[in-house]
Order: sequence, then C-alpha cells, then structure tokens
Amino acid sequence: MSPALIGGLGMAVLLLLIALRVPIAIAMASVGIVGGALINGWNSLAFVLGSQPFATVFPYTLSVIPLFVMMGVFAAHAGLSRSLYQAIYSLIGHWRGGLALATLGACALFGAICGSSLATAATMARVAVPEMRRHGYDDRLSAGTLAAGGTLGILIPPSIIMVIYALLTEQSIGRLFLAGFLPGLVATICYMAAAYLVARYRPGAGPAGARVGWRERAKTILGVAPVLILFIVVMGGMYTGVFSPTEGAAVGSFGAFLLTVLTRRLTWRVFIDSLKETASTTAMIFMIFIGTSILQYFIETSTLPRLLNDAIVASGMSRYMVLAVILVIYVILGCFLDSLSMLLITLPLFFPLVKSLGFDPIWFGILVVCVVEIGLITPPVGMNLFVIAAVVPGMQLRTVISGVTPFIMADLVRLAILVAFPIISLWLPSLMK
Amino acid sequence: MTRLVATLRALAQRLANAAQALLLAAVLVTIADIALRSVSNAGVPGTVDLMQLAVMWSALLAIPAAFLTDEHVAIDMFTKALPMRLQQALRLFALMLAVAALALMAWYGAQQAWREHTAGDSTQTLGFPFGIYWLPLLLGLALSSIACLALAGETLARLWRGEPDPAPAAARDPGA
Repeated sequence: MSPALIGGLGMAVLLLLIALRVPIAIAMASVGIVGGALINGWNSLAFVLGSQPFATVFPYTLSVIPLFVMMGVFAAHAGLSRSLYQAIYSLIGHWRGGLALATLGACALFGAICGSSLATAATMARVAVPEMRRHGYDDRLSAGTLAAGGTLGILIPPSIIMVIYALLTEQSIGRLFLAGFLPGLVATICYMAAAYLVARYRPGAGPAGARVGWRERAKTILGVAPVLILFIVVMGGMYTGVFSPTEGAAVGSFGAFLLTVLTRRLTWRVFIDSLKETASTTAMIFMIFIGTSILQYFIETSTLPRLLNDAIVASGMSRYMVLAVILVIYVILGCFLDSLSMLLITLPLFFPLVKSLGFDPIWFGILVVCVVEIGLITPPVGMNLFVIAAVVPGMQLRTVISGVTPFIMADLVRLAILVAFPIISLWLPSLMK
Repeated sequence: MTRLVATLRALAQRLANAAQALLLAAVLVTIADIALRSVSNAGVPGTVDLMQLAVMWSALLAIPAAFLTDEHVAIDMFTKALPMRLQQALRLFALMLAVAALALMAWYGAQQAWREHTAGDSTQTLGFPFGIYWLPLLLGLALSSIACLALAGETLARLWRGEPDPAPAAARDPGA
C-alpha cells in the first residue's frame, strides 16, 4: 500500500473513530500511531511518540492559551454583561428590534474581553432573554440573537481560536487579533441588520422599548468604561509592543480578575470554579494538541498534503474556486465537529495549499474563524444552540434553531464581503509596527 | 470500581486545582516584570522560564481530571441513539484506545526525558533542568492512562451487570 493510500484510509478511520465517540485527541493520536508505524516503521514512530508531545506543549507561545482562557472565565464571572447590555439598550432600545440590537452590541463588547463564544452566549443570555421576554419579544428572535451574538466572542479579539490558528500556522498573534477587529465590526453590523429585518417584517417579533433620557444614557455608558479600559490596555499594549501576546494575556487575566473583585462577585466558590474551568478547558486544548502532534507526523509522511496540492493544480481550478471549496468544506464540517478539532484536523492539509495559492495567511485565518463561527450556530452540533437552550428556562432547541436561520444568512453575506474585500481584514495589521 | 473512580476523580480534581495556583503565581510574576520594566530597565529575571513551567504543570496535570469527568471533546450525535449496551461497548473501546495511546506516549516520553536528563539539558535563563518541564507531561499522560483504565473497568462492570451509565458531562467546545 502506498503512503498516500494509507494516509487517505487513515483520515477515513479518524472520522469513523470520531463518529464512534472516541475522544478526538485519542482518535487523532491512535490513527497517527498506527498510520505512522505502517508508513515509517516502529523505530521512527517510537522517536516521534517520545519527542513530539513535549515539543508541542513546551513552546512559550502556548502560554497565551491558559491565560486568555482565564481572562474569559473571570470576565464571565465579573457581572459586566448587564452594564454592557444597559448601555447599548439606552442608546437604541427604543428602535423596533432595539433589544435584539442592544444584545448584539453588548455581545460584541463582551467579546472584546472574553475570547469564548460559549461564555459570551451563556452570560448574555441570562441578562438579555428575560428582558426581551418582558417586552414581548418572539422567543425565536431572542434565541437566534443570542446564539449568533455569542459567536462574536471568537472573532473580536482576544480570541482563543485565533491564538490556536496563529500558533499552528506560525503567524503573529498580534496581527491576527488586529485583523479580526474590523471583520468583527462587519459581523456585528450584519447580525444587527438581520435582527432589524426580522423585527421589521415579522410583526410583533421585536417591539420597540421605552426611550431613555440623555442623563440616564450617560450614566449607563460610564458603566462600560472598565470593559473598554481592559480591552484598550490589552490590545493597545500588544499593538504598541509594550507587551508580548503572553504578557498581554497575563495582564488581561489579572485585569478580569480585578474586575470580578471590584464588582464584588468574587467569592471562594467563584474563585475555585474559575480555576476548575480554566484547568479543564486548557487540559482539553493541550490534550488535543498532543493528539494532533502525532497525527500531523502521520499526515506529513503520508505525502497527502502534497498530493492534494498537485491534484488541485492539475484540475485547473481557479484559486478563488479552491478557496470557495475549502470554505464550503469547513461549513459542512462545522455541522459535525467542534471548532478546535475541525481546525487541527484540516489545517495540515489546507494551510500549505492556501499558502501555495498565494493567499494571505492572516486573511485566511480570519475566514477560517468566520466559518468556525458559522459551525457554532448550525445544527446538529452547533454548540451555541445547545448553550442557549440549556441556560434559558423553557427555551426549546427547535426554537433556537429556527431563530438562528436569518443570522446564518447574515454570516454567509459577511463571509462573501470578507472574501471580496481582503482589505477589511488586512488594513489594521498593515499598520502594525 | 465505582468507588475507586470516585476517589481518583476527587484526587485528580484537587491536583488540577492546585496546579492552577502556579498559573496564578506566574501571572503575578509577569505583572511584576512589566511594572519593573516600565520604571527601570531591569525586569524580573527568568519570567519566560517561570511562565513556561507554570503553564506546563497547570495544563498537563489537569488532563487526568478531564478524562475522569468525561470532559475531553467527543462527538456523541451518532451514538446516542444506539442501545445502551452498544454505547457502553463503544465507550470501553474508546477507553482502551486511550489507555494504549497514553501509555505509549508516557513510556517513550520517559525514555526521551531520561536521555535529555543525562545530557544535562537546562533552560537558558534560570538554568532549570529540563526534567522539571518533562515531569508534568509524563505524570499527566501516565495518570491519564491509569484513569482511563479505571474508567474502562467501571464501564466493563456496568456492561456486565446491565447497569446504565450516569449522565455524561455536557458537551463543550474548548476552542469556542
């Protein structure tokens, strides 16, 4: 059997093991071990098994992951979601669908200090859904808004998935964060347009709220200051070169911890729960990294990436057509796989191809994060759908799925905009020193 | 067997929580380093070495706890409609794969660590021996392998007695 055939069979077995509920890290390591032994023999594999896991988890750059996880965990406990929501609501709550728009704006701001989509969705849902129900909002609009708004957490920097993309593809974390800023804004605007259109054309779905006076507006906007300060310190420090990304993440996690103290939310229980959540999330990520390191050795020695590249060149497809195919594959995979595994399984195959086609790796990274976001709100395994159904009392999963459809359309429009205008992603990084 | 798993779970969780204290300490050292650098040219020496050490211990010692609480990412959408016994058989298969893969990595990792230890490798700034960076990886992998073996024993016993598994942990997506 040729190495390429073993490589192809290995990828099929990997998907089968994942479908049989083998933990993804273990599925990747197992396929890597068996495939690696078949292609390269046991001695070579033994060396890789001994050295590769350590080489993967040792680099200093990886430190940024637990620190941004910790920042997100403390930010979610700091009780800032209500003040963010009230601030945006005071400005636009009196519009039709204004509460939904306020929720999306608050999600975007919360995403600026929390790199987790699930935490953003869960935290904002607890604040926004009761308000929307009180104002007679259709549950479909409320749930769709929250599920989609949550995904802004991973596009607007800091973002854990962006860090992982940067580490895997050896790109600058700072540049990738900057690149995500304007697409995050575009995403927020697209979602707001979707929510507005639903409220406009589905009578009674999103009635207007009460208008708030300017004095009240000023007061609520002041409540947002700590979030903006933390965001500016972390991103500004990284942008100006005062901090490295790891230092920025340390400052961010310390700042989020301080915010939890200042908002008097820090109890011993919250502290221990935060540590536990940081530990388990980081452990999951590191275990997947270890599994990937073995799989990657197998994929690379199977020559599969080179064959894929050659086949695409021979097919005569234009590079944008290839990009479109890759993005469609990501959208389909996102329906069945979690974001991290999807990235780790596909990047060894797709990234060399994308680079050889002459696409900018930072721009591709933003597109990948966008399609990962779509995966978070597409059934059957869109995690945000489950989060909203789980944290909102009486919310059915089918209501969430039905409500999120207009936002998936908005995502596709946004993806098309970002593909058509790479400058949206690349302008800010081009200004970086 | 269930009692053994419960004891292991409690111990692993305490180990994981304790290891997070190192991460918190590294955050404080980094903040002190930035503060010192902003007022003088000198920062805290070896911040990079300390941060790497803290991250290795905090992340890798949390891996066994994540296995014992069933938190590692797995997709159950294709298996949850299967009969209970078939689901348990698949879980047993997954756990035995995990035992083998983790044990192999721990075994060959230990050999590599020993080679580096005898070669006297150490970090650049603080001169820490590489062994203290290897230790959490080897412990994490070996303890995870033992944890999966205990879980496999528990699953086998349930399969034998026809008892259902407790409800699994809620699915999570660490990247999201």
